[in-house]
Formats: sequence, C-alpha cells, structure tokens
Amino acid sequence: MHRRLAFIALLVVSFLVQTTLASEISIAGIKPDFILVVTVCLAVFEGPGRGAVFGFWGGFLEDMVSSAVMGVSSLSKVIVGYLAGELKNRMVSASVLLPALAVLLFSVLNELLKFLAWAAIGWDGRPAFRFSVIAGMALYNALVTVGIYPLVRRLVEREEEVTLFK
Amino acid sequence: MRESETGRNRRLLIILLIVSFLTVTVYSREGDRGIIHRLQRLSMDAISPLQRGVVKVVRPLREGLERLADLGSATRERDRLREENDRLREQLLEMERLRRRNDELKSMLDYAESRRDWELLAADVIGSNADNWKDTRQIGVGYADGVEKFMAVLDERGNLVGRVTECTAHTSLVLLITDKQCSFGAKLERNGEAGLIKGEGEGVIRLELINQDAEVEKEDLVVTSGMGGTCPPGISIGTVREISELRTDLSRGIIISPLAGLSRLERVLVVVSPRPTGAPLPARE
Repeated sequence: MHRRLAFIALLVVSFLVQTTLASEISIAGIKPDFILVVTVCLAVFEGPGRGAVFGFWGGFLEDMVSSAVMGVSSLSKVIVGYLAGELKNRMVSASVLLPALAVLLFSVLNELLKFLAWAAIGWDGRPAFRFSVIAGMALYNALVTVGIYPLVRRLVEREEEVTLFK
Repeated sequence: MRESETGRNRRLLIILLIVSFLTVTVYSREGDRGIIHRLQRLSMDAISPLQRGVVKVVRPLREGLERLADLGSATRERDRLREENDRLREQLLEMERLRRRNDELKSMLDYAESRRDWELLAADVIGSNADNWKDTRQIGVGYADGVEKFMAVLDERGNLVGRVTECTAHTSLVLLITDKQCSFGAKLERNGEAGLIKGEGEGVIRLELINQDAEVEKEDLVVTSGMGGTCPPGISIGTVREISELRTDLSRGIIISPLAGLSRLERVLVVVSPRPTGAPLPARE
C-alpha cells in the first residue's frame, strides 16, 4: 500500500513538474521530458511490469493536457517503460552515466514512436519532424537524469526498507 | 518463479498496449463531442487546481532565482551583511513581485479602457503543453466564464498571443501564434497591405502578403485584419524582422517578431466580445 502511494505520488509530481516547471527551464525552446526520465529511472529499478504501468499513466496524464491525439503518449511510454525495465539487474555499475545513456536512447525511441503513431493514424495536426529537436531533448533528458536518478534510487531503496521491516 | 513474472509482465504489456491502441483509434475517429474528447476536457478541469497550486509556488521561486542572478556584483557586501541582507532581499522580492503584478494589472486595465467596446476577460496562465511539439498554454478560465473556442487571446498590453482551441468549464487551451497550426488574417499597419501570418515554430512567425509587390520595410508594424472573423481587426501582432528575396513560388519570406512575450506569459486577456464569427484560416497549404 505504502509502495503504491509512493508510486502515485511520483507520478503526480512528475506530471506537475512537466506541465509547470519544464517550460520555465527550456533551453532554445526545448524542454526536458520529466515523465519519461522518471519512467526510465523507475523501470530500471522496478522492472518491466511497473515500468510499463508508470509509462502508461504518465503518458495518459500528459495526453490529458495536450492538444495532441489521446493515447499516443501512453502508447510510446508503455513501450519505453517496459524496455527500460528489461535493464533491471543488467546495470551493474552504480554510476549515473549508464541510466543517463539509457534515457538518451529511450528519449529518441519515445519521440520516434509518437511520430510513427501520428503518421499511422494520419493526424492532420502532427508537427513537422525535426531530428534536431529530438536530439536536443534527448540530451537535455540525459542531463536531467543526473539529478533525478539518485532521487528515484533513494525513494525505491527507502520503500524496500519499509517493506522489509514491516 | 522468474518465468511466471516474465509472463505476467508480458501480459500486462499487451493489455496496456491494447488500451492505448483503442484510445488512439477511438479518439481519432470520434468528433469533438466524443466520449474521450469530453473525458480529456473534464480531466483538464479536474487537474487545473493542482497546476494552479504548483504555479503559485514555482513563480516566486523563478523570480527569486532571476533576482539572485542579477546580484552577482554585490556578493562581497552580501556576505558581510548576510543576515540583514537576506531579510531585505525577501522584502525586496516581494515588493518587486507586487510591483510587477501591479504593472501587469495596470497595463491590462489601460488596455481594457482603450477598448471600451470590447469585453475582455483576464486569466492566469496555469500550464503549458507537456511536449516540445505544440506551442500551447493552459489558462484558468473556461466556458463557465464566457470563453468559447476560437476566441483571440492577448497579453496584458493588448498584443496578440493566440487563440482558444479547447475549452472546458474552468480552463482553456490557447494555441500560440508561433505554433505551426496557427494562422491569422493580418495587414501592415502602415499601408494596409493584407495577408496571412502563420506560425513557424521556435518563436517565429511568417507573414504572407496577398500582393507580392507590396511595399514592406523592417520594423513595420503588423496588426490583425479581422479576415476570417475569429479575431477583431487592429490588434498588434509584431514587427517585421527580416525580409528575404523572392522565393521559387514568387512569395517573399517576411519574418515577424511577436510583440507579446510568449515565453514569459503569466496573465492574459481573452477577447470575449466581439465573439468569433467564423473558423480559423487554414495554417498549412
């Protein structure tokens, strides 16, 4: 129960930060995708199941306040969350560089999936594809990961301790 | 044990993918009044109080950081008088915030006075789009306050910001003039030459004049023409920044710098009356 509440709190905080703070710290019009960063960081610790669920709800909330097609962000982030979860137990180093690299790659994948989905349904409002924006965002996300990954790790480890001593 | 967990995860993935696919399919096939569209609008309303709360916390923080960045030269003095200075700085920040807020409201009031025949509704900006692909802002007024789709949105000085594209009871989504999906009928204020402004993304707006031989100079003011009926005429949009040579399609690339500070929007004015009488002009050829 405690763990589930922490999961929901992390989701809500990521969403609020994304829709309010992200645009305040944009560089050259590019803002980081906090929901994606937290999805990947969490999935790395919690595995593909929880990664996919977090990605789904994160994308769902993102779609709620977007003028884009509902369900596309959920779709892309479910896949990203699941694949990132497959890295669980495979990241042997405690360094933050590997998760940052994973976030960089998954950011590109996430945007490509969104463009694929928009193209597949022939959405009129889809933006022009610009890889420079995707690359910029991926780099920014990787940078943000350096700060977020230790926080998520601390949260997960704390939750594990609580579960263990209950 | 491990196998069963893998199987469970895969089943979960498949279920979530099916739900997402179904949502996308239904959303793209249903109209504006469809159940998912309505759910989306309802959720925007439900989430907005939370966003408002966070914005209230974030804004003073940002202003504080900006202020601190300006105080680099006074570092030594600040160290010496740290305690007293901290207290004074807090007071100063608060006063500065109040002064800016006062200036904003005064500008809004002045503008509303100059447009006595219009009905303008002030609104707080409570959020922005989550991704990097759309230039939208969420504002804290909706159809319960008299807002309707396609209404023009201005900054506190009366410069064009964009138009309302989605409307819930207490929140609305504003598509900024720099978005690629946004276009407005426009004209050069100096000689009345009419055309269309289109968002180009990344804070850029392009003006396409109907008369390709029209006289246009840098710093010319561009205002709305009222064409299309979604926006009253005479609202300032921006000034001409760049005029490129004739292109292969014989059109000229005229780049406009928006007058509204789109990256720093905190409060806006919605033009409730005159109401929009038509749909927006298509932004894409």
